[in-house]
Amino acid sequence: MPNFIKNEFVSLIVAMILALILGIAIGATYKEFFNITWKTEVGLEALINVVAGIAIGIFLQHAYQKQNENLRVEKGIVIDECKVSIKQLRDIRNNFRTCVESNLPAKDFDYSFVNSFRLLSNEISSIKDFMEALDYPDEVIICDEILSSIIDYKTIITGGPEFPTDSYSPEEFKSGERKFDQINKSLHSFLVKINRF
Amino acid sequence: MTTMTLTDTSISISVSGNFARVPGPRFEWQGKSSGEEFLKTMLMPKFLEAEKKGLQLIVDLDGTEGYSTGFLDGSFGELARDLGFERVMGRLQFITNDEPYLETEIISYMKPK
Repeated sequence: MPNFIKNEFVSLIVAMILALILGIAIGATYKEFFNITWKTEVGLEALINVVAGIAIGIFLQHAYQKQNENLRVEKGIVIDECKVSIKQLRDIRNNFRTCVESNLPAKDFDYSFVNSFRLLSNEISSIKDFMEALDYPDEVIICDEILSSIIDYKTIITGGPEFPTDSYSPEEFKSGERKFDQINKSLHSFLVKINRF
Repeated sequence: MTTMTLTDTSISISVSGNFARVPGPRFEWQGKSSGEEFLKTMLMPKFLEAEKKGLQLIVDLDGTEGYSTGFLDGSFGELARDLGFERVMGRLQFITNDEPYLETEIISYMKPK
């Protein structure tokens, strides 16, 4: 269930419970309200209290809204970068598969691989810096793990002794596919986690 | 274009300025501008010169089209395997503004396995 629906649902339940409690409390004593006699004069002290209360209320609500808005913007940036990373990863994998399936030497793809890995690691480094700046240590650790897996994937694809003169062996292909699955899963889990913030 | 520089504390070399804008494969027989060639003609001689003079060696990795694992492992990895990881890391610094994670990647190839 999307987060905003969950939030709406929880807000509705809380509002219903509060209304129920208020209803029970007022229902039992509502006749007493008609016996209240109001003072004819309102003191300056009371007036200042009311104005200060309203000002603090407005300030707190404004600060809360601003914080929420900032979080939404930051979340949007990270989600976009995650999506770009997933696309880069798929590009690398598609080229890798094409190279293996067509039995072509990696030479036909070497700079495409090198460039895509560079873009991919730069994207994840950028997300990591962002998470560091926002003080999310757990997410920084996840980014480090993904970056480390990217090095392993790059080593499989561009580090073999036959790269780029020959095509890949079946073992290299299997290792590459396993590593792709691992990074792909990590990136999707990360995306889901960020979406739940 | 050459961007090799010498200061009181360091010697600097730039891969794109002094070697190749498009770094190549691991071995010389595989193609031009290989990691093996970079190690033999630039990295090892400059490292030994820096060591002899008691200077740091700064390698600027920016400005290229990117690096394959074969190139990095065939140059920096081999340097560390030949001379020892601690010895090399004590004297080597990197400039990697184009690709911030490259330094960590190179160190992972240099570390003894």
